[in-house]
Amino acid sequence: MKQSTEIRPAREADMEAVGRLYTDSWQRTYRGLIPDWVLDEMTPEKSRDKWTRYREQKENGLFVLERDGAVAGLAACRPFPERENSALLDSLHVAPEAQGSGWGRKLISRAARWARESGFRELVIFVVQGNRRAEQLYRGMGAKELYFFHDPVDGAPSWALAWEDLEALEELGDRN
Amino acid sequence: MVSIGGIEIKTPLALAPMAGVTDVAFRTICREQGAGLTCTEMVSSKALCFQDKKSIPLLKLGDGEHPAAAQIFGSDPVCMQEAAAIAHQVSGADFIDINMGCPVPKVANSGDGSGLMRNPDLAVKVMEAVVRGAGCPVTVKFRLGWDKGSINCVEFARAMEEAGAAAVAVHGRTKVQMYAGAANWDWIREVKKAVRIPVMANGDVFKPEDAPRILKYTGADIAMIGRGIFGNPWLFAQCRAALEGREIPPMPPLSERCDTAVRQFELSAANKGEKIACLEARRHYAWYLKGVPHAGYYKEQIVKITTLEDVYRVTKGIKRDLC
Ligand SMILES: Cc1cc2nc3c(=O)[nH]c(=O)nc-3n(C[C@H](O)[C@H](O)[C@H](O)COP(=O)(O)O)c2cc1C
Repeated sequence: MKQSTEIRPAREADMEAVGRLYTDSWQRTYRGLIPDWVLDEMTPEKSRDKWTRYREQKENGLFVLERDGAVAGLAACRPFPERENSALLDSLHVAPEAQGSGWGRKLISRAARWARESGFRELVIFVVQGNRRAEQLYRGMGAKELYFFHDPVDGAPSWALAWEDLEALEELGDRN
Repeated sequence: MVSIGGIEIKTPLALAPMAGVTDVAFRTICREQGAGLTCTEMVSSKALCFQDKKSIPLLKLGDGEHPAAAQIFGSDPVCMQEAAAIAHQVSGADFIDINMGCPVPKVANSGDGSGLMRNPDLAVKVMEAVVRGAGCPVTVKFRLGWDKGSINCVEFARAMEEAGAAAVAVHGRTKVQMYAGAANWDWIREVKKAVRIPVMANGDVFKPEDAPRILKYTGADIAMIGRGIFGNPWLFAQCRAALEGREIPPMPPLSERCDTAVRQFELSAANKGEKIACLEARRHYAWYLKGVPHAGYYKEQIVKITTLEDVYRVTKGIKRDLC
């Protein structure tokens, strides 16, 4: 059976599903990497509200991966005023059932397009130390190290990485 | 001389708290250059209430680092009261400072940091709770307001004073501005006129003459310096000279600047361990080398530093080739 999958801008009606996906994904991926109290405080409702507000800010970009009518991935991007002409890929998640098919890469590529069309020259992403799969994916796609820091909210040691060639990054999404 | 809650600040120059930058090692270096007041990086009140041990080291002060503040953020009065008590006890700081200015979406959108400027009633409750919990004078740092249509720093400062703040620090930008555009010092002057407690003026002190200028312009008691100090702790000695009407001492030569950088990284390694210290040193070392001609090769080496041995090797090369 052929499945229909696409990446598109998130809609109001997606927000419940986005809240669930985000909460699940954090609690699964970050256990042991980010303090328990941060993870245990998260709920699908709080996450839904967070992404609803995020989407309402017109300078932000929020995209979902839709697979057979269900939300199976998320990419969130916004301006990153700490640096010049810089955008931040704030959040990137792919549901377990959609993993392993390159959708993470396609979501990153979509974010790169958003960043380029919004006039930015680089795309930054933070990765928690110990999240090896994600780090390998980003570095494999050409992300360069900017700096190392501890997240001020949860204290997690993290890398800031950046892609400088947005067009090249966009093209990586076209490959299968 | 200005005093905050009865504690004298001998030099009216404060180092702005900057998460990921102003750790105890860097603060120690800044104090040597004349910073009169320092502050820890911000620490989450929730982390403290949930007894997350990772945030405790952030509260550690250097030997003789006084007067100094420990900064906490959060918007739940109950948690903030408890966090203030823990922060004071763990740090031994002279003041607890509340962060009501942080614009980072993750913080502000959950109602903490600058999010409290949109909810002054809650901000008052937070201040009162922290005053009850801290067991020492409490200060607060905030911005002009959320956005340019909702600038409320003057009323906000008054409310904070009323709620028990011993001093306020005002960063002359709105939340929405983040760090863009020039800081507006006029509003800081209005705050100074409106309260009796000491005011720290913050925003865009980058050159030695900026320190006397911001104090004169705003009438504030203390100038607070942030980004200007990246890789340049000597700005404190220069600002102090400018305030005292002395000749401004030049930056030391590159080899001495490198020695200071290395000392900072050694201090940091003693505090956080070599590995973390060296990863963080990459960013600091690049700042120390900003504007140094022909440093391209060494900047590439710096982003590969993982041990103190690497730090020494790179430094030796810089001294050989660039000094
Ligand atoms: C990297 C960075 C981290 C910061 N972290 C904090 C913080 O933890 N607490 C706080 O109150 N302000 C923080 N700030 C704001 C600064 O304290 C200061 O208000 C701001 O940089 C404006 O001053 P400046 O123009 O001298 O840099 C931070 C600023 C930067 C650039």
